[in-house]
Amino acid sequence: MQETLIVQNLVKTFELSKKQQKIERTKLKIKVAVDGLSFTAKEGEIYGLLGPNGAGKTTTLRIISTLIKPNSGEVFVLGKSVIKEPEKVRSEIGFLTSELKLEDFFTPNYLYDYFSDLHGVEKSVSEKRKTELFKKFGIDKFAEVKIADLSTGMKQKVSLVVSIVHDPKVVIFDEPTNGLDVLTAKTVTDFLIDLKNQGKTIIISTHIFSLVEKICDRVGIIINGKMIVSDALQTVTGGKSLEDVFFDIYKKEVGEDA
Amino acid sequence: MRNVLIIIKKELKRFFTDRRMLLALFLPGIVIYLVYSLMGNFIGGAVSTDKNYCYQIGVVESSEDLDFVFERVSLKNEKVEFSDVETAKESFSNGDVDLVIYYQKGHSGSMDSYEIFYNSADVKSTTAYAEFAPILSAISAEITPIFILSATDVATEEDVSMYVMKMVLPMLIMTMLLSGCLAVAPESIAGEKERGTIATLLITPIKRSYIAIGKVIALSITALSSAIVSFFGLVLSIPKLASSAGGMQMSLNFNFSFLDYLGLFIVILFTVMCFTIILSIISTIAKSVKEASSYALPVMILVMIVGLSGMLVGETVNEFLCLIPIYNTVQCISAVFSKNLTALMVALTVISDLVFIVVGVVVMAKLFNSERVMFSK
Repeated sequence: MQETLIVQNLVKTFELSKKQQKIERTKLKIKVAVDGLSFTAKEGEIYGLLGPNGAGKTTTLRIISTLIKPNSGEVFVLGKSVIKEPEKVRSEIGFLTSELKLEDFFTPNYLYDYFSDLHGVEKSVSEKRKTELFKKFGIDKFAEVKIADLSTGMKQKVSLVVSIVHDPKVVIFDEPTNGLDVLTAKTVTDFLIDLKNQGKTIIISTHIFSLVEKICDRVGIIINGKMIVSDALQTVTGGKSLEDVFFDIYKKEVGEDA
Repeated sequence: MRNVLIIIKKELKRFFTDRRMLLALFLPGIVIYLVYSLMGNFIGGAVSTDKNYCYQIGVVESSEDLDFVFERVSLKNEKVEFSDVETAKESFSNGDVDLVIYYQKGHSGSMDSYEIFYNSADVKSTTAYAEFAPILSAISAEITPIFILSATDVATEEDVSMYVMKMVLPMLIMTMLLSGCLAVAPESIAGEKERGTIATLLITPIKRSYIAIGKVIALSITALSSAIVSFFGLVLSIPKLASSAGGMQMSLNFNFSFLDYLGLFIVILFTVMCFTIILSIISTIAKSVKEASSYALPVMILVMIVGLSGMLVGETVNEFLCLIPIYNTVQCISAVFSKNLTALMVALTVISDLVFIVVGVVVMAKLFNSERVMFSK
């Protein structure tokens, strides 16, 4: 299978403000969020980035999505560099995170068309795809209701659909089921498996072990910005539960007191 | 280009279909009209003259033609004859008479002439002048074309509100243009940042500079339409305010040529774009709408000061001062009112504004690319 995503020695640091220094209880002015991280993902697989909060998962995904630039290292999406050709990378990926919001003022129908236009999707293709996706997620029932008047679950569904208007080959979801009710969460995970079967590459970040065990083919465990393990799920777990494996690794890396 | 259009279309839909937004955009113009008209009515009520008032018209050296004029005047009046012009003037400044008509018979070879003394700061005097002058000029043209009609306005400079108006108008216009931009720019950029919706746009393959251009054009269109409403609110209410404030309507001359209007429109168009760029950059840097609005306050004050500098613009303008963006707007508006706006001034304004706008868009695109600016918490 073709490697659609290649992440090489990614490093990203942030400057800490005085306030952030206090919160982090550190006197260092620079925080290393991602520290020499590398991994690859292939087409037709779901790759899960697993790690505690603040491990650098979201930062990594944001670099892959070209929202932020790495200090060093490189990411190739279908052979295109995120640093040199960010626009081309953006047309190949669908990125969904809770940080990306939709404007309250518009309806799902309008926003779908708007983003479809921005991605340059042909009108007939776009209409067909819209009908399918809206039906699949039940958006057709509230397609003309303003985003402001939708529930969290409905909003999340619309965001998801909008993020893949252009039928991207690589789909990146940051905490895909966070804050969703069980029904919506199920719809989303089913959809991810569906995408995988269509031959897409899916990268998700999560701290939910069961989600990784359920849908991921390969997993990368990130602790303190470093990739500790990156391999097929079975190889990583070796018959044990992912949770046990994770805590074993965590203790080894961070120490007993963690 | 297609992408820029998509952005423009969406932004315009955002502004022009939102009732609250429309209110914010067009209410100032409507309020200006209502308040000024109301003010005009109140002041008008205070100073308007009694219908039965008998106008005292001083006449120095009567003539047959003048008798003819008095017959035709519809105002209730009383003719007060003076033997010489000096006593007439004295009586006029004491307020005993409202108008003085001074007939001078031409000496050998020279023409006969009428001189009218009136006070443009006095309602009675201007009303009388408005009544007498046209008839007098009509008959002097009709019957004996050898007359020269000349009017002397004895109002002191401070009295002439028109003068002040001319000085204040550039500032008023500039403030209105800026408020139009202020109603939309922070909402469209800082607002989107605050609500996290701009990131959704940044994740699309469209170039950041196109997003910047699209936003600036859409904001300019919106701000301009808001400014036009405000401008009409002002223009329509000025006569009401002016008529009550002492005959200013006669001196405030909106009788511009088509070219003057065209020049004014072009200048306003580019000014709005300059303002939009400035406020857009501020809104891009700001983290929230509130922050953007407070950053915009000094800009507002600065623009008002620049607007007031119109007072310093003399009758002769240095055309190359039009190379300074924003200040060139004041130059041009003042020039329109003193009727010496030149094509060169408009051209220089357009060129310098255009450079300013292009630089602004480049800066904005850079800011849109900066993760520190776009994703700072």
